[in-house]
Amino acid sequence: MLKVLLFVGGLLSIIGAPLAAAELVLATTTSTYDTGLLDALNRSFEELLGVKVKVIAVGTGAALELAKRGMVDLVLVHARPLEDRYLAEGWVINRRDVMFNDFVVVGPPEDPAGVKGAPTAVEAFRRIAAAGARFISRGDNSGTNFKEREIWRAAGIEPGGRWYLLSGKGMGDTLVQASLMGGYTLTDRGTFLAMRENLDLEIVVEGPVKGGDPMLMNPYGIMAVNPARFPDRNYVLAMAYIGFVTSPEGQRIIAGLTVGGEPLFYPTALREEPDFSEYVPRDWRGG
Amino acid sequence: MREIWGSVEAAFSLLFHPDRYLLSTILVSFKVSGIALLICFPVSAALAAAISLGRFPGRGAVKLLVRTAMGLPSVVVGLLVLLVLSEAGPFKGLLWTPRAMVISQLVLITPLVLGVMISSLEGVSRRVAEAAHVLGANRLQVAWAVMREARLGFLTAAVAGFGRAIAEVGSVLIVGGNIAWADGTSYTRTLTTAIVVESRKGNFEAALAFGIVLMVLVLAVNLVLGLLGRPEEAR
Amino acid sequence: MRAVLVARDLHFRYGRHEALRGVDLAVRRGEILAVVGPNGAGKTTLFRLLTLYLRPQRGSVEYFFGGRPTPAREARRRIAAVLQEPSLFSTDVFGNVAYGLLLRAPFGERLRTRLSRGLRRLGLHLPPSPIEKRVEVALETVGLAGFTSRRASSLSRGEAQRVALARALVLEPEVLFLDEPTASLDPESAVIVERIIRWFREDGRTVLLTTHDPGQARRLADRIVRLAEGRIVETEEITKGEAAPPPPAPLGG
Repeated sequence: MLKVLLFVGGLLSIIGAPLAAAELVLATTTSTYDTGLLDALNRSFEELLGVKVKVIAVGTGAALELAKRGMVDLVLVHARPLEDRYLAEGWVINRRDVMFNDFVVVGPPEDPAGVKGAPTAVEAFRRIAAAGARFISRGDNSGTNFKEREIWRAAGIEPGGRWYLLSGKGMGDTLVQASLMGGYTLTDRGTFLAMRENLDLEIVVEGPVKGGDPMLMNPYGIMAVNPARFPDRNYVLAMAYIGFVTSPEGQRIIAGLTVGGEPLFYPTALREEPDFSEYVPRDWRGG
Repeated sequence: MREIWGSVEAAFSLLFHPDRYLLSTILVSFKVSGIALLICFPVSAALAAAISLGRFPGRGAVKLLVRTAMGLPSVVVGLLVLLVLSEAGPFKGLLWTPRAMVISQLVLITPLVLGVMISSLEGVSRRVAEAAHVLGANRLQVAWAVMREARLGFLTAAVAGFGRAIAEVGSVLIVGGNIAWADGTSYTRTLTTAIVVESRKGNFEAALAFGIVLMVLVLAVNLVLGLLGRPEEAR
Repeated sequence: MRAVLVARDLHFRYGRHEALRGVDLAVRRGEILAVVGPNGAGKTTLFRLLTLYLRPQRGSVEYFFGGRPTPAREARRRIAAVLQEPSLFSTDVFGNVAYGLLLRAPFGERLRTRLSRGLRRLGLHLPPSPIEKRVEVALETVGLAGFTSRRASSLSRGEAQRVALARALVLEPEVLFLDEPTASLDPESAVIVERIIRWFREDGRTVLLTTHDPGQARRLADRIVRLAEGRIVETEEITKGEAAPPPPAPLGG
């Protein structure tokens, strides 16, 4: 029996490099990861500090849950209402704005619901529901999903019925599905731009980056897991990473990521005038 | 149709000029599944011998449990291992590492390997055990003689276990995190999870390339299985 | 009269079926004992208990080698059996016949034998190890000289049964059990086997056999025990005057 255990232990120790003392685990969303942004940031970060960053790409809901269970050191997500909740509950701390991009509503070139020309996303969604035109929702608690639900709520519509489909997949897969089925969906501009060539979809409602509906704003926040609750996590390194990402160098890297000449993200971490809303939950009253 | 062919062509050209990403991913897949099998095999052999040759109450229940566990979906296994690793204190450091992937694949393939081994042991005539015994073999030696008779079945079990491990995606995705370093080298990304991320990103040629490598591997596994079956039929 | 094996009040049941219902038997050293009876009488079960393969639910089996009670582990090294079905191992004839010898041999002997066999297959011929020599002799005895490298699966039923016999003989057991030893043999082989049985006893060794053939029982045995429905119903002493066997021919015939 002892021999078996030694054999097993010996094998297990062969695989994987011995755990370096300095390693950072970051949870982010699949859409963020798929743009290649994290790889660009991490290459510089690794050079700067000699620390390798492990990036776990899951849905927004999952990323924050991983933080809540102390399974990662920090998170980078884009779902402000949800971030606020986890901040208020004390699972994550030291939130910083990092960047923003926007959402756009996309749909088939034939535009069966006559959405093109709608002034706001809310109006577009009303037209889609009225026409019973196919709409693909991610249905996965992602940042995009949250924004989508926000818009339906604002429109006073409870989406359901045969025209409303839940893909349960990432943004890329959902766009592919919408393209194949000739349906509408809400997407972040970045993913759409990156995949545009392979899709049969057009932007039907513009986002604020191009002067469109401000409701389609998509801000990204980075925050560290609370070391008071998870003392084993790498808090110092997490703060170093946050410092890097919100530094001029990090923000420069973010601004440099383009697809077809268009930037995927707009950095927002550096402001000459303070904006305290980035540090605390939006409805926080202090005291 | 032309598009699909174009993708296949592009995929093959990627295969003939493999980059670090593809090579490191293949390596991770082999390492993880190979080590899982290396550990699983002797442990399962011992368990299979004990279960099929022993006589104890609840033996039927144990065999039923093994057969049921064979059908566990890989995502379920991954989730269970994730939960265990995240709660159990000393094991917390294992999360998001290849070691965690080995553990979850161990849990996944052991019932299968064990089940095939038990089947093949039971296929060995009881008279063989008796023959060994009456020639002076003790319990361990009898077990060894029976196992030698079942050696083809044991090899089949190993090949089947490896095939299942290398082709699964659910459990390694969950406990490994599908991590690749910033320079593109894989850390916990396997052939299967690479297909997940590349097709999600829309890189269909790359996804297809990984898929082809995987299919070639599974084909090889099945070829070996088929060849192993032949000597049995010839008898 | 010295008893080498004593069975007392043996009871055995498979599930609900009672196979033996109280068997007492004392086997004399050097005798040939034939156990006869209809199918299902319990002959094979009795053998399984006597070879210590099964443990009786009631009763005891005890061996007396050198006049003293012998513990089971040691006793098992000094007995051997040939089952009704040959049950050869799926290797070559050598692997089968040498099996028991290899079990008992020290590590060095085993290594030497395996090396010698391996090299022989490659064409190199080292002088044969003691184990290899004993295997050759055993095969000659059963009339299968030269069969060493044949696959067990390629043998006829009769040849397989003779290999199983060689497998037991090579161990030079002091008590030999034979369950229907000539049941599947052609007449020539049957004659060879009967000769071997008689020769075996000349060495002071004991033989227990079961048989369906009453003629065979009378030819070979010193004592016949009849089993029916799990009990001994008759014991018969065969005096030497009756049906005197022909003198044993030279070995290897």
